[in-house]
Amino acid sequence: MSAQPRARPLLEVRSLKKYFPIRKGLFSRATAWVRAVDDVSFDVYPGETLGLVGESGCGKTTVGRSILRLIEPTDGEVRFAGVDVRQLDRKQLRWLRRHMQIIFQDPYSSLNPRMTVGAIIGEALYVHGLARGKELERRVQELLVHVGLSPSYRSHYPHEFSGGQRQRIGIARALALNPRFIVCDEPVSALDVSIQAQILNLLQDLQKELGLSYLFISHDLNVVEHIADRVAVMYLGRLVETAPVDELFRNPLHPYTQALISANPIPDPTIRSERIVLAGDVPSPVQPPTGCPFHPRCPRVMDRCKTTEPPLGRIDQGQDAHMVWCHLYGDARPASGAEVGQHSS
Amino acid sequence: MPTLSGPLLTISDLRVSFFTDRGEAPAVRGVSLTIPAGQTVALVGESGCGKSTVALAITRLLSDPGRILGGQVVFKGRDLISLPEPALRAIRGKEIGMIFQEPMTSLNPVFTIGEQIAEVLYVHAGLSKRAARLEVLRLLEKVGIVPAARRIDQYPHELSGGMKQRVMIAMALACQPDLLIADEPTTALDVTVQAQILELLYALQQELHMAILLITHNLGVVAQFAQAVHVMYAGKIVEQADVHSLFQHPLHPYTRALLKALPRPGHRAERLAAIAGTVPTPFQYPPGCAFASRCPDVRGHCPTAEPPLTATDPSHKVACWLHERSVPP
Repeated sequence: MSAQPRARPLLEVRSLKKYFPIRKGLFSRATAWVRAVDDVSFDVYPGETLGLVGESGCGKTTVGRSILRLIEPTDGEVRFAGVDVRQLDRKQLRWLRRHMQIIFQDPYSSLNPRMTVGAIIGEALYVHGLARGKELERRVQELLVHVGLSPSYRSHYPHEFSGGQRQRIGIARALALNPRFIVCDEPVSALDVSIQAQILNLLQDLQKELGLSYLFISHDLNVVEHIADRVAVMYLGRLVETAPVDELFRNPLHPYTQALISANPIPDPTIRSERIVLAGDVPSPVQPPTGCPFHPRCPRVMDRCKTTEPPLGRIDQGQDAHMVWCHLYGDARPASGAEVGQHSS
Repeated sequence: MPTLSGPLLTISDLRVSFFTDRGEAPAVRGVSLTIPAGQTVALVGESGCGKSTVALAITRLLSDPGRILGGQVVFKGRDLISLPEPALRAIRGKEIGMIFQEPMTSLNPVFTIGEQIAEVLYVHAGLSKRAARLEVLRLLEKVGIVPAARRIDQYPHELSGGMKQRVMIAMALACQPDLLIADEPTTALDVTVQAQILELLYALQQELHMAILLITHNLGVVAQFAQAVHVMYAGKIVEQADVHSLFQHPLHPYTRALLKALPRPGHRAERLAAIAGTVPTPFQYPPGCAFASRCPDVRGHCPTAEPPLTATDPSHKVACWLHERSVPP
């Protein structure tokens, strides 16, 4: 399902940083910084799904929200359809929101309990002045049908629906403005397996039909392997590896990716994977380790990992590049043999 | 499953209901299962199927408005349902250990982890303060909380989620129970931490020869960890088998659908086989098979006549009319 190689990226993220201050004392001075996202670069191509995986606290949700400017990035560049997102003023941001939307993890807390389903889905159309009155009603009904719900649900309230139905309402809301790009932030994590499959199928159908691009954020490797065209793996605020999905799961290069994949329990008792069990916990992003952030837990750690950051691969090599940020692979010569470059820091 | 020592725990026809403002919600509707000594038995199902209620009912930890309406839970020859409370209290935490999904809320925030583990030892083993502290240090080392001498005086908030779950395990295993009830023990944890905890449980099980009742919705964890599996749907067991039969030859349409709905590593199919509809609520369970409304193989009598749980071979049972010789009246 991947788009044509050499296509121009729809979204280009370069050296994205988001540091959150830890404030203390009478004047709320920042005494330390949480480096939630630290120098992250990637592209999303038209019509593709980029899976962003990592464990809790690795910064994947912060990446999704920074791109949409739901939170303001500290530094870096975000280009959407060639437009520099970080330079947009409030009015221009509304233009951005028409094209970039988000679906949240928790379908219970992301819908306003005091609004009807019709009002929730129609709000953006109304605010953007795209539809009023009868036309608005017609659009809302259309959207409900599109996500597999009865048009009569528009006058109901969120509490009347199950988790899966609420997630469909969230998807209808995201689709209302005909966006080209949707950040899906753990959209099926709160759902049971049987309902999860319904929502994943719906997201795939909508993508095919509407040519949507997704940034699909998830901690569930099975889900990501199923839905993504390419995958980016994050650890402690940084990318450690990106590759096309089959390549990443068949030939993971970074020791963290290898551990993550091997730790994932396979729903087949005849396959006993050789688990790489990592020692210890993820360190604090307030004082990330020097050198490679993974080095204190890495089973293949070397001396230079403790002092020197692994070289960063350049990202402008199209969709098929397999990139890894790790000293094991010399000067970051990726598996695909593509030309890769310099230290950025 | 054939065993040498016979079952450690036998549950027969357990029934539990919650009495709410909207009426009676039957959460567990006649569950029977056996746990052989030293084995891992999994109870799987989706949210609301009643699997956690079974776990709480075994040691009678259900609180209002939940009530056990009938059945037996025989543990080493004693029926826990009819046992007087003081006798049961001597079993809980000593012969049957428990760990829950939320290590964050299961620990008391105002006591150190050392004090909380030691309490189990004062109560059940009658250890002195000094002896208990030495034993706690040993337990902490065993579950991988190191350096134990420093960690023992820490409070729960100073530990990560994985570390808190290790504390829960240390507490549950303090008296070397014969049975550990583990209710979604790794659900709140990250994949790499989940792997650590499962490895730890497996190693301790080998060492202490304890049985584990593993309650989970994660079929991956079941496949990698359990020997026998019971699948629950709407308060009943719909299929039970050894782990290989269940994954290779699932018989119940619900089990089959569940396995097909699962995104599997290496099987990057175009489309998942979603199960249509949703689970009925306990207030509207049909008189017959509760899966009938979503079942692709439904027949005329399924919604009205209840299929019995019958054996198709010595290690496999299923409750479905498709596998019955006789058709209901």
